[in-house]
Amino acid sequence: MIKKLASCWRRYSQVILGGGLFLLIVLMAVFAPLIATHDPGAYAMREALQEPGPAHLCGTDAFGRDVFSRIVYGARISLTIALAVLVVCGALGTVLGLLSGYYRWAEATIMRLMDGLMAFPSILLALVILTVFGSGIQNIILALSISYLPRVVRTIRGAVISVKEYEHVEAARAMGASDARIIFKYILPLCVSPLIIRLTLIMALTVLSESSLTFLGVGLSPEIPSWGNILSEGRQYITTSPYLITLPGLAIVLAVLSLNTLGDGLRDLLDPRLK
Amino acid sequence: MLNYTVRRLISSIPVLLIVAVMVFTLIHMIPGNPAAVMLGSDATQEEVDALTQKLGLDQPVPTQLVRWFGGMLRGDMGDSIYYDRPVTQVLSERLEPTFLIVAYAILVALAIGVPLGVLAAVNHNGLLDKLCMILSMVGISCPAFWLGLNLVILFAVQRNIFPSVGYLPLAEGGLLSALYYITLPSFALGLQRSASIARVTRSSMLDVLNNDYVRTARAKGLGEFRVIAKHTLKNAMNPILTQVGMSLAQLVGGAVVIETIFNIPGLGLLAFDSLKRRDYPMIQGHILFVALAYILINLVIDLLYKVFDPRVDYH
Repeated sequence: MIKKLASCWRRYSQVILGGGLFLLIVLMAVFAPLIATHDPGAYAMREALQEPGPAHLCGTDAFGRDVFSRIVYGARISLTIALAVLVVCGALGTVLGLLSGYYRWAEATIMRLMDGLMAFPSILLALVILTVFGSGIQNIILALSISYLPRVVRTIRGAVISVKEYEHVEAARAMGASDARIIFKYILPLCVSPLIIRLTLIMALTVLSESSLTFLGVGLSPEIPSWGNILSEGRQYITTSPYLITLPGLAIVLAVLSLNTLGDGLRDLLDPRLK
Repeated sequence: MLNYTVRRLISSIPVLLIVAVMVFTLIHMIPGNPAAVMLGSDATQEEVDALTQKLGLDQPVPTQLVRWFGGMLRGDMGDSIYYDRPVTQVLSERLEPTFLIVAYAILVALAIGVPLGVLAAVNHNGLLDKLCMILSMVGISCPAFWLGLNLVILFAVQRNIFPSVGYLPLAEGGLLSALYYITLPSFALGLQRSASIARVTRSSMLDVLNNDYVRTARAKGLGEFRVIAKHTLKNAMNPILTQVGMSLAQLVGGAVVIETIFNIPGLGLLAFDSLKRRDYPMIQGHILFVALAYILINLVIDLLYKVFDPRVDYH
């Protein structure tokens, strides 16, 4: 029994650790009203810039707002954006990747466009898109989805190119199956593993990029208690209240760490060739 | 190799063209007239109209695109609206700090990442391996700007060893002073990149360590250091080079956040300020420059493969 458990731990440790930590952060976001000790938007100027202590676990900011509660609510913002980018990139990237991998005519157009997008540094591309459309949650989702779309398209296309040569696909073709049936029934299921791995890592990148953009002041409006905003506001008090930088940053690190560990674990599990 | 280089350069032209069209289209979707932004809120409509006409911004977008392409073919990226000087001139003036930060950061990343990766590979599945990999995973998960701010807290606020912001150009204080000013931002970027270099080094070393010639080298009685440095690491270099290339390209583009935090007048801060000022030609020039740098860095890395592995064939 112990041997079995040990072997199971060895095999799934990264998935368990990363997935477990991520699940905790998701639960923190879902039950934020129960976990937060204060109203994240409540001003209390008399309690401004208090160091972490029993009354305020992570201290208070310049407006006396409880930093711990803002971090807890911040998880909602970061995870919502990460999840939305995952859905947009996953859906659009899968369709474009399937088309470019299966049809030569589609490859030329889609992949050149993706090459063009890849030549932009993702943070710069997101900055330009946010300048065009303005800040806000929807626009940050759009900006980051466009920035990370090429990675998903390339992943799916790579998988399709090899899968379409498999014998079962050739057999389906020989039996007169339509392209749509071949793509969705025989090719897509074999692209799911690389897609899951890629999307997990894109969620981690999204959390990082969203906090960077918001920190620069172009992501979300300052009233929203996102992790990037908490850091951005804390920057002015770096000399007197460094905890305003260290603690919200740790929340970002933990969220990204959980997703990176989960992504790595899934890769080892689903695609041992890449280990 | 020359043929390969020429072929690669020619094949990158369509990508650059796509980037150029995309940048041009995107930039012209930015709301707000740059002429109005430039003249400020006190300007009259006549003044704004006159400047709009002078800058050619009243022309249809396709006409502006053709004119811009014409200029590009002559090596002219146009004039910056804000600086009222050629874009190439402003870009070249801002290149120095970004170049130094990127070079410094990649040296930091290599100096930390490669030994860490080698140590992990040599102690495969041991405690050191696990420790190195946990460290690198944490490193990858840290936002560079947060690392930078923590370095400021530690080495500028609490200890006053390094300056927290600013830059002293080479011409004014020499190389050492310039490096002194960019130490914290470079370490912030380098520490983060070192994590991915360590992971690639480890996996590449593990692939090579299993080869027969490594066993033969050991059987011949060579010292472990020589086996690792001469026979293993050299042959494990190509994936590391690929990672360095990717890191360099990301650093050139990603300098925008770190330069803004540390108020370093490099290309990144220039891009950020130009976006705020609606300085179309400057942003277009900057993004094209970064795209070109991305393509050239990848080309140089591809050419370097042969240095470490003579079997690489460019045909």
